[in-house]
Amino acid sequence: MGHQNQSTEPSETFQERILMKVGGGQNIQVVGLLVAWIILIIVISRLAPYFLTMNNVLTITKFSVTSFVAAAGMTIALISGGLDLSLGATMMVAGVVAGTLFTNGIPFIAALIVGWLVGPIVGFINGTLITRARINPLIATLGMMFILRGTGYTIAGGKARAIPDDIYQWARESFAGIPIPVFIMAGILIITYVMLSHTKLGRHIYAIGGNAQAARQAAMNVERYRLLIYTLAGCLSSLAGLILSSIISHIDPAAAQGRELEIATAVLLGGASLEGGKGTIVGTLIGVLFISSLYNGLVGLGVVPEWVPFINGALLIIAVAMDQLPRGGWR
Amino acid sequence: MNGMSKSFGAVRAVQKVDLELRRTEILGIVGDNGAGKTTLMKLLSGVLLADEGDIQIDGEKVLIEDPLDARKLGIEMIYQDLALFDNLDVTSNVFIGRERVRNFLGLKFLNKRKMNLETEELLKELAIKISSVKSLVENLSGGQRQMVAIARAIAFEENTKVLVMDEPHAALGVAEATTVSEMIRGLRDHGLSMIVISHRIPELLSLVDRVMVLKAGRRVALRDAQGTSVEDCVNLIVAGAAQSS
Repeated sequence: MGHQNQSTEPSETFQERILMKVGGGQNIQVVGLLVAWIILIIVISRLAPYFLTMNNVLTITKFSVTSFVAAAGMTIALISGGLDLSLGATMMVAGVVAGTLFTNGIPFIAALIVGWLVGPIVGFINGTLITRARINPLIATLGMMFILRGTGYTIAGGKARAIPDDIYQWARESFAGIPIPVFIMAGILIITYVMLSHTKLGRHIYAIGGNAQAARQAAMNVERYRLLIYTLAGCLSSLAGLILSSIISHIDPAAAQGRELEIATAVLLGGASLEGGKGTIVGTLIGVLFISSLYNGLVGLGVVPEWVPFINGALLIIAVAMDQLPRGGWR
Repeated sequence: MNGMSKSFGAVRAVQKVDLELRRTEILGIVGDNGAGKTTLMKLLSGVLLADEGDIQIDGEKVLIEDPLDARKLGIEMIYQDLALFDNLDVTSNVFIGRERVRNFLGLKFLNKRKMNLETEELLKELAIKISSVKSLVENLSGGQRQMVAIARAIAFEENTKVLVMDEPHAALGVAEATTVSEMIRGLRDHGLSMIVISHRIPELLSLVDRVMVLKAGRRVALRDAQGTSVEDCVNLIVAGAAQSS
């Protein structure tokens, strides 16, 4: 068997051959991002030596984990051609519900489970709105985001409250020197990677994002897949929310405010596309690490807080622009 | 197909059209826009239900009420947009919906090695020149994409007897169109009969055995491709009658 060494029509250019060897434009983007991240770390640590201290690395890690777990959900949604802007709000509500139940005497595990259930329920509602009522995903999840923010605010009674109990701070613990959330992140990374790259489900998710019409013709129940995907995204968001809530040990209705922006930027920098059909979980991971390091670095370097969303917004636009490049440049 | 008719409200898209396809024949269908070519083919592939007329295969009447019926009878149709997944590679496209999997803990894991090998075999068999089955379809040329679509259509059903192609030469350069035509001719050796709809008259005439001309829903001519010139064909399409020379 082996490779067919015949070349195709002369239309296969040198560019295309390189792309095929590297595995496509996607991989180039991820590698480029990795390099950018390394450069970023080097630059910031030169300007601010504290940046690479154990303490700070831990801070960055904790931020990354909560972003990554939710970003995994966003990645799957984008690959399938959808979009979920309610992630941050879901994170917050899950944490608020868990925390409120717990501080009102509900057993710890039960409180966590109920808090987590917020995710799949919200995801299911999003999915239903999008597949049954045929509401545009942007609008549906954006609307849900506002609804959730209001709901969480109400449940929390309008202000943040500390949760003093040790057991609630499980996410601050370490095992063998590694923070517990890192294990969760590794687990989600592996599971998501295997699912997307090596299962029938994963391939079909890419197919739906690439050409939903053709997917239907190939007898895929596109609506059911979408419902599953949004529910899954919800599950991951609430998990991220529980981790966050544990780290900050507060019932906080302002938690994860605006996280959607960072998460979307991270996922898009990592190779996903608003048009669907593209994206990898590894790319998302690097995107998240990049953004987290950047945020941490900017704040630590004394950059005025107002500049952070400015930079984030600029990055988002750059990420989407990079998405368009291959269409113009690499053909 | 005998006496097929199909109307959409007041529009008589197809009116009492007869079509005969012989074994291992390549039949061309030409006609202007709105002549009824695609509608007629949709009646054959089960996407539409005829108002009048019947379909027979090997002399036996058959009922085609949906695409699944057509597929079971060995009729496959390739639409003009090819329905390919640009973001997936050749193997994934060929196997979409029919992936070879290994079950493990209740999950279906893709057997990529097996699918890649089988796809390479298939391409070799059909003499399709694509250097790697792992190439993303979006990086393939128009001709290669067309061939992947054809390969996918016939890859699985051992009993595929009829392949209908809607505008296979669309947007292809002359060289590529020739390659695609060669491939289509090669399918005859696999026992397939083919119907090709095309606007590219010169390419079509050099590909098909017979050509059928539709105009305003009616069949106005059925000719041997050999004895028909491009000019004749165009006149038939436009005026419904060949110019007497």
